[in-house]
Amino acid sequence: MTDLTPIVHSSLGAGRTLMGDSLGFHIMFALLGVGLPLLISLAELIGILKQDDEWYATARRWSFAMGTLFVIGGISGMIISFQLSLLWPAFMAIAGQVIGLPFFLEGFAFFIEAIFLGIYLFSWDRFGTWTHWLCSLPLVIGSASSAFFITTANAFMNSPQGFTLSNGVVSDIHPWKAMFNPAVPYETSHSILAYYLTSALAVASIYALLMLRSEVRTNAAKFAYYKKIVSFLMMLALGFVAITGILGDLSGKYIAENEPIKFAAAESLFHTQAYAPLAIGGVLHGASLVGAIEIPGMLSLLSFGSASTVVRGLDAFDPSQWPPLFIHYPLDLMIAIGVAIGGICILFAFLFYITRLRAWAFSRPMLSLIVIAGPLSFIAVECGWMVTEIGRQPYVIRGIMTTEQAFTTSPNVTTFGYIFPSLYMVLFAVAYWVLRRHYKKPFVMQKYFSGVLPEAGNPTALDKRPDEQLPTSL
Amino acid sequence: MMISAPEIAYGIACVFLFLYLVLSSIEFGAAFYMLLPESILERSTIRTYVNPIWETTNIFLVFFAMMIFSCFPRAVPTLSLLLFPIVEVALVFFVLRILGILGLFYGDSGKLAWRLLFFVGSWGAALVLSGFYHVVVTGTRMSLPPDILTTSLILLVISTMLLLSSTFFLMFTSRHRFHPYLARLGYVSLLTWYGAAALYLIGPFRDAPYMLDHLTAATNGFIAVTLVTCAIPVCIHKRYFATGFASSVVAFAMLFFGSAYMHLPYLVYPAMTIVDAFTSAAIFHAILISGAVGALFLIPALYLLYALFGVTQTAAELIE
Repeated sequence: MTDLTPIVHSSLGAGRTLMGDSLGFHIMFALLGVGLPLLISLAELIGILKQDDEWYATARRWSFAMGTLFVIGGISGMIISFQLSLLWPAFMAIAGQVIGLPFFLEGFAFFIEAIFLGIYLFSWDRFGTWTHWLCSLPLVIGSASSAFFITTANAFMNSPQGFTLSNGVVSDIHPWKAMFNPAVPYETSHSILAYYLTSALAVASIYALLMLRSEVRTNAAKFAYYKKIVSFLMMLALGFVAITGILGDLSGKYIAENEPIKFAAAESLFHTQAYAPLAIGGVLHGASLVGAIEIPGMLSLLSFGSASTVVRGLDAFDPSQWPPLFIHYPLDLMIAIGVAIGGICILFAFLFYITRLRAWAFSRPMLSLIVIAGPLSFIAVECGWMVTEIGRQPYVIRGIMTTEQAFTTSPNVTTFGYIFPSLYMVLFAVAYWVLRRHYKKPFVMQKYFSGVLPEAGNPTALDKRPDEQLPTSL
Repeated sequence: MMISAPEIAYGIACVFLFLYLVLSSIEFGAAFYMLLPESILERSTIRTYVNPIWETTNIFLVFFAMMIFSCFPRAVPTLSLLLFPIVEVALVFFVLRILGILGLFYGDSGKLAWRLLFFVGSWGAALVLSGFYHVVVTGTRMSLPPDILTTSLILLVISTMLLLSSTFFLMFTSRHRFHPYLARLGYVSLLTWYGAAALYLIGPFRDAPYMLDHLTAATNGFIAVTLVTCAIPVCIHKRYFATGFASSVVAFAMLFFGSAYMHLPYLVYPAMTIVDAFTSAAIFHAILISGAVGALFLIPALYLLYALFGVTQTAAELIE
């Protein structure tokens, strides 16, 4: 019989790191799994409505990147679903009884997404254009639903409700109330919009990088095609960044009201006060922030709508309940990136819509800014999740169960804490290799289903017809 | 006799696991065939099977896990402790398998390294996960030297993968040169499977005496499995490949669901029964309702995938 006696939680740090690494890796691919279906569906729709082969071919080319990234997102998601139970069994014992429903629904949404991904990828030449486009809708809805359901479970961890816990026994359970907890509207909308924004910027950033090449800048037809794509993506990004910013502000107000310890730690507000200052930047030294730019009253104003409102600082709470204070850094970084991205999008739109300045929208400096915006947006998403997750510490379910209580008593966590991050690096490298290879030799998968390589958007076909000026690389 | 809510949840979880085992056995068998030389293998047809399906296959395993921790959450601490190294190692193999799939199918490279990764990842995951049954039946992990149950599980996993995949690809492939290899493999794996199945039924009786209560049912069930098993070589010989594959699935289903039935009332012997581990009625009802609504979308979607897959097969034959 295996000894079930608990051992000391000596590997809690390794467990946290392993979970953090897994989530950090997964989110990069998961967000593209949410964002790319929308971009592809829109590109295909434009192609159909305008009868523009370039848009149609673009959607077709992006779809294979989506397929590859979905594979990585799928396996990293599977790892997380198992590691939740393996690393945090006490948490799952409660979560399963109260918030098991969204986990189950997420599985359904993912299933729909997986089925229609297969259908969408391999039916370009089998269905009519409208039928094929309709197949993209379950992908868009399935991926967004999947993100929505899993985020409701996370929102529950921040804002638990819908059950009573007495002496370790869960009773009076209301699954729908637990699922639609107060944090849901803020967390789900802010994160899903951020995924759309990041996906748009990621793709725009790749095209902008290509447009910096002399080979593209000297090819008028190709440059015009890339301009069309970048303009479309940057206009989408402008819309998304505006909405994400508004939702981020609402989310901040919600956290200030309902998760005051997280708010105080993230804003590095150590003392309860009226006219609370907004601290930007700075370096933490113990329980003080040095060198920050402080705007008096701004934190009170932003979070509660009045500069005179008293905002609770960390001194209002037991220090044993404080989250790690360094979450101030990711919060600042996320906001700084958000503002920078907003600025880049506005600048692009301004240059693009003023006819005599339009050439500047595709100048090297502007394109360089777009190239930088792509990776920055990924960093912002990672920072956002760091604030959410680390800011909830020491709890896994806020006010109910600490992370330490939820942690497994199994040995060997540290060993796997080294193995999985190494595997993620390999997966990352192989994904990069596959995508590079794919865009040099596209549609190879489709060949197995139709027996022929499609010509539209296929560089192999274009090489044989050099006089035609269609896109030749992503 | 009324079926209780925990029994319904247990049954649904078993159905998900069964679907995963059947589909993954075909895929894992494909990983083995991909190691064969191109002159024998009908590689392109096997690729068409693995490509669109594999993500759908994995989801059944995820559904099974979801059912366990959402319907039997009180068993999670016990299972987690016992299964920690098993599942973590299996996940490592799953990642290796994905690396192989990426290189082979998405990277369009037939290099041996990718094929080996696909094979090692697939078979490694399958063999490691066979430890799951050992844990739930005996409350202990597999150990060395292997006991009867461990030996039978390892043999059973290998022979099930080969039996289901060989009968499936006999039906699915069309190249006559490939068929004799598959048929011989089918016969050998069938013999091994039958022996392993007998051991597999005897194994738990030593470590899990509660199963003796089901001795009569087990005996009758095994007679039925024997009859179905006898039909498989006949079907292969007569070239009724679809019936041969169906018979293999039925034989495996009888063994799987029979042993799942014999395992009742335990979820993890001897620590936890399905009633002790069961979730709240509220969650179970919510899951049932949402599952029924979800099925309304899933079933047509799966049919559409199947329809497309059928067309695909025809296309693959045309290429050939």
